[in-house]
Amino acid sequence: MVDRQSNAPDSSAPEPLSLKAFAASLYHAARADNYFKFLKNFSEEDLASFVQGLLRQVGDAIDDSSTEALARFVEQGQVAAYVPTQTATPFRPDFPDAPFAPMRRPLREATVALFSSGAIYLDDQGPYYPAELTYEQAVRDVRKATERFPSLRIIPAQTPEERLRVGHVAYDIRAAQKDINVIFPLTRLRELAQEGVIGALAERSYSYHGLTNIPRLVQESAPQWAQMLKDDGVDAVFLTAG
Amino acid sequence: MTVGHVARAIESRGIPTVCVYIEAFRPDAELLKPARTLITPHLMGRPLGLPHRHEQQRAVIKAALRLLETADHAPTVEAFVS
Repeated sequence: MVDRQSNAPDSSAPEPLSLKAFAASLYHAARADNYFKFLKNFSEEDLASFVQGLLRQVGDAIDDSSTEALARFVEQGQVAAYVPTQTATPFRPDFPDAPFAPMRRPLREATVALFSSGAIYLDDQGPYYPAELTYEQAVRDVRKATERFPSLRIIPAQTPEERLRVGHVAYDIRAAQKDINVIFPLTRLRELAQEGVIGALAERSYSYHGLTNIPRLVQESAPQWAQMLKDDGVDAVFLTAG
Repeated sequence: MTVGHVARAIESRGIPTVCVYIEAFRPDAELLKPARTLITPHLMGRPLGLPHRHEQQRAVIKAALRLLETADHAPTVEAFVS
């Protein structure tokens, strides 16, 4: 029988949630949130400072009816979180050289293809993660969601926006769902072709999922895709990173 | 970040490329060295800016396209200034 007057701690009560534990839960875990998962990289103290600053910015955004300063604050947080982690690794080597191919014709005469790692696909194509996973499950289990063999989706030039889908599991896709041009500017490039800024948008543009088997991508897929673009006869390629 | 690898492969085939990266991933571009990179002050998943900001998106795209014509060596990395 429980002594209701006792001050002894209840051993079944959950541990208090620290800021670090909360931030960790955003990173493809229980509270998965790709917008703010970068918080996982902060120390407890830096987290506290960021959250305090964020709350201040939210108050100002409400009062000023403006989110520009808030957006800048979050962007600076992402930079602070991610920049120090990007050191040379076998998957991200510090290449000593940089291939360079000059434009062979003026931009206003050039056929430009769009190529994105943002995991865009058509409504009659499958997403890049296994069919047995929902998107939310794929976000929480990136190992299962990571492709073993990089796959490519062909996106024809005249594809209407309403047929485009986005299924990247490692960045927050809400903005792309509202306006795909934030990462796959097919419509914007069509417009620029009509205006004569570029000669033409290529008949075929492409997307893949950046969360894939990187050795296979580098050694097999990328060279194949490059040859495919050569066969397409494009003059330049516009790439966006997801 | 795989786009740098893909851009290098395309450039090696003789086709000019330009990549749009966000500032948070600038070190990745500096390591992988795709030929031309435009760095934007935007959030992850939104390299060309926020939804429905057509003029902002056009400005980013035009700045990236300009690099195709103005860059005379690789790697060229430029920050987008709105």
